[in-house]
Amino acid sequence: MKILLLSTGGGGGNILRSIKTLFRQDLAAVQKSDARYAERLRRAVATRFLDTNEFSLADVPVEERLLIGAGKTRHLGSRHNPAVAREALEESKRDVASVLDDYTVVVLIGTGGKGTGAGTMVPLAQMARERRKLVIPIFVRPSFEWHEVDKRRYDHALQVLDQFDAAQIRCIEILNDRGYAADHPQPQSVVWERMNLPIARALRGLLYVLSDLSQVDPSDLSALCAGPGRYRVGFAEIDPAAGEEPSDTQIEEASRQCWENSYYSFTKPAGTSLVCIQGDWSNVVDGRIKGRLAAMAAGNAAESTYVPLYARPVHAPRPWGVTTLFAEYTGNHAPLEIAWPLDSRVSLPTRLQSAAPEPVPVVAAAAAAAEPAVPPVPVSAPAPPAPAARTFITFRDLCLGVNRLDAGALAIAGNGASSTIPIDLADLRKLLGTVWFRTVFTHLSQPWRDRMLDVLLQGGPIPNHVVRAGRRTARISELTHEELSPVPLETILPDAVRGDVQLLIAVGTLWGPDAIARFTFAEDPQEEHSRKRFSFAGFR
Amino acid sequence: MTVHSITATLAAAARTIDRVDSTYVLWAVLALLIAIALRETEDYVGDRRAVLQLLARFGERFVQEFDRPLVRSLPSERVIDSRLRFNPDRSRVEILLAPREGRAYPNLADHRKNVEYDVARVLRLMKDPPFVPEPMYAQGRWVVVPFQLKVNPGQAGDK
Repeated sequence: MKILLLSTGGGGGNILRSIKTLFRQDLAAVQKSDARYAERLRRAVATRFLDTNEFSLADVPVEERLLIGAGKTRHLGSRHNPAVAREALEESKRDVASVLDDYTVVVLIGTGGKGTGAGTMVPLAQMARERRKLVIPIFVRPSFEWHEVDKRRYDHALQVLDQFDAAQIRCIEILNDRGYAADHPQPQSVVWERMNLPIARALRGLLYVLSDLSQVDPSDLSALCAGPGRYRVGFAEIDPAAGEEPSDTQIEEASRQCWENSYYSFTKPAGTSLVCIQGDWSNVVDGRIKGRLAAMAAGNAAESTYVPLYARPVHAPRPWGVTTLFAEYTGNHAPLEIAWPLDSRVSLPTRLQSAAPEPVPVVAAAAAAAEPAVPPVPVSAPAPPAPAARTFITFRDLCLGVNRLDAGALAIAGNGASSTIPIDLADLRKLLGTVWFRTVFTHLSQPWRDRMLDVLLQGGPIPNHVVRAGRRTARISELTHEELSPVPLETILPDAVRGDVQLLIAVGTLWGPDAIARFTFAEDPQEEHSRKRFSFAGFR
Repeated sequence: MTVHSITATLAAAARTIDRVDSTYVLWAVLALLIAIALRETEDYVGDRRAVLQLLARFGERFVQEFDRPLVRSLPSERVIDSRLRFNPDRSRVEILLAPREGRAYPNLADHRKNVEYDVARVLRLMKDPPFVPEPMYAQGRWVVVPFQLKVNPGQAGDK
């Protein structure tokens, strides 16, 4: 999984510079505690600065520049005209698309003050959406009260936000107005850092979630991003004394800091949201953090719309804390179609348990090497991980271990079916419904695969639902794998039917189309019931 | 008709008038005058009420649109103070706007251009209402935006 941080225009570029610096500082801290983890983070994130003005990118490394509209603007800027910027983007659409295509997640950053940012934010987000990327736009509403822009340009920024809403693209809206406090004046750099720090820190949490999709289902993430509305990012560091649990005060402060972030526009109740907790403490602390956040999110509402998705990295390096991505509840929306990569994940390794005998320099990735600010640091070598003496109680635990490329789990997965780990039918059906399991499946030996299929076959007959396949109506037992595959995408199915159809599709994909024929099918009781009702209707 | 007969008719009429009590005549005239005055007052009050309603509706809508795009914590929160000052006889309304505590907008000291832009923006949004803006001025913490109701030439009786 690769994440692109793409700024557009001068204002967006300034924010990206700030986020990049903060993210580097985070990396430097992580580097001290876990060099491999830091390296993976570094490789997972790329930055690009899109602009119409060549001069505003003078300090940006050449490979990170993305200049658009050579014909329209001669790279001299959009003359504060969003329409010109839009045309410049149209002119360079192919170049931009080729950059977007390399990434799964696009964090788009721009401001509404002048031309390029205001003119290209929405078209860029739409381009990324069309390419089935997970897009998180960060848009700054400038302050006219404090003379950053005049009221006309401020109103134009509001139009951009309306366009996001109309296009059903959820975004982070930063309110620059909130950065000014007459009774507590502060330098602009301090204010900017306070605004941007949660974004930089949240990236770490987001990276973890995206790189290990076993913790949060991709479909849940797609649902979180669906629909219009706003996000609010939060981060709070929790730094307990060595060997001690965080205190109640630390938990309360961290939860409050995550929830109350006044720089972001967030006026509706929270809906589906993401909470990533990083720290080596007990599950009691996790529970308290989740409880406090849930209480704040629910507020005084009688019926809460808050649906938290939790992610919990094991052995995350310091700095520890809580990252949150709250999304406004704007109704129920169909999950977005995101092209989640199955094989190109950046798996974050578990923390190194033992240092290598001799320090060996780690060579940074090509992209990172070009950045002078974070030179390669000599660190303990990523020694070949010794098989951990760890037991996996359930099959799901084993799969999670395989997904983390845990050596012990990989050994068991390749070993065969002599393991005593039981395979639970319900667990297996859930696993088959996730994207990440498909990669795990490739690591499982043939005996494991046979055992899994046996469990599914012995799970009893599948109701022989009637579904619509293309232009005809047929029972699922009559359909081939090829005919079944488009059914969930093209038809609205009840949950029970969808689950069975998806199971058959997954079996066909993983074990081959012939495996579907081995299932037994039973008369669909629901359908039988409705047929009886229909036949008796005439006698009533 | 002879001069004699005319004289006789006039004398008879004078005798009839002499017989009617002049008090009744005066009361009738008074009643007539009161009826006319009441009718006029009613028309005046009705017109005044209608103008006042028009001015109030315009003023409230103006303030609402002026306030709407400003940053706030909650959608229901008002971020400007406002008052309306009416002069229905002159078909004139003055809209007084001031920033709430901790806010800087609107004020004419350093936001005159923005306020002028906003007034034009709101009038555009209200789809050309029958009001003409007049030069705005500051009064204490208030920005006063006067508006004059346009007089319809047909209604004014011009030909």
